[in-house]
Amino acid sequence: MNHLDYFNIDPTALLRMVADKAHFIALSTIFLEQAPTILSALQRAIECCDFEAIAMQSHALKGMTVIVGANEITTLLQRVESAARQGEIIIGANDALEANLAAVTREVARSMIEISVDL
Amino acid sequence: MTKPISERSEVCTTQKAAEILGISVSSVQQLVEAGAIEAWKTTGGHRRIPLQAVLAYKRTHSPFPPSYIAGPKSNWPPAELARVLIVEDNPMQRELYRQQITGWQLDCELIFCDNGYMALLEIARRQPEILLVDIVMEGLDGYELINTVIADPHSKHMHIAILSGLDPESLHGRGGVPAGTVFFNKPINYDQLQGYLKACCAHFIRSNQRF
Repeated sequence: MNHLDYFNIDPTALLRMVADKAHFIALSTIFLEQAPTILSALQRAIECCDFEAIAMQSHALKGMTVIVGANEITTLLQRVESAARQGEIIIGANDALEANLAAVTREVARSMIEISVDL
Repeated sequence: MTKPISERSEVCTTQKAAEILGISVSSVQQLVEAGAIEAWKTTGGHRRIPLQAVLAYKRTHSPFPPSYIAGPKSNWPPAELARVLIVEDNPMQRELYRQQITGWQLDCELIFCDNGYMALLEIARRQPEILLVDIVMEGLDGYELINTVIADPHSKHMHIAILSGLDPESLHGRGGVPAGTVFFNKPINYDQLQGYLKACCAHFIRSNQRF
């Protein structure tokens, strides 16, 4: 796996935290299973202007994106969380989050496949 | 926070299955691939594990006798291992802790909770010797949990550590790091955490020696 082929995540960030491929795959699996669900909840919270839910869901998703080295969406989620804690909404956040997470998810899935076949 | 188990509690994620069975996510994946635990895939290719399949596997493979009921300082299992309760709502972070701490091969039993209320129940039932707590959690947050535990005279023996992305200055606004607790800033320095747990486990062994 060549980390330079990844633009939305940093596989080396996760690789530094784990002991072997199986652990890398386990963590990536958790991300793929849960991140989309949390994003959906976050988007619903943004549509409803539920600031408490926005803060909690964005914090939860940020905790996962930071581990896979998805720096851009992590920064965006931090802004969304901070704004929500002050009772504010970031215009266009939903679309930006959806597009970004889709790209992150694709790369996490690809990193799982590539590390499985790496010698 | 969205829970990994659906509202009808019919399916669970690989992560939740791992926590229910007390094994790693990798082991769950191997069991599913070996057919030991039933699973199916959505049209999108995502694996779903029926909760009943996980519970059925747990019943037939549990190391504890069926009559085991956790109670105040239960006598089963024998308290030869220090119990470490980790309260962390981030599932990836829980898996990271499991991978790291298991790799250190400490004489301890790991217990995980993803929220403060369940943690209070676990503390009452199993009275862990070591408590590792994240601060920012939905519902009862880690700070309130720790202050509740500290206020209980029965917890005086418990080693308590805060693991948090909040800096000490942010905690200062809430009263600071409680006296007698250890603070680990995220990203966690695992060498420091290992040293802390080794010391706690050694203290537990000395405390339980009969001579």
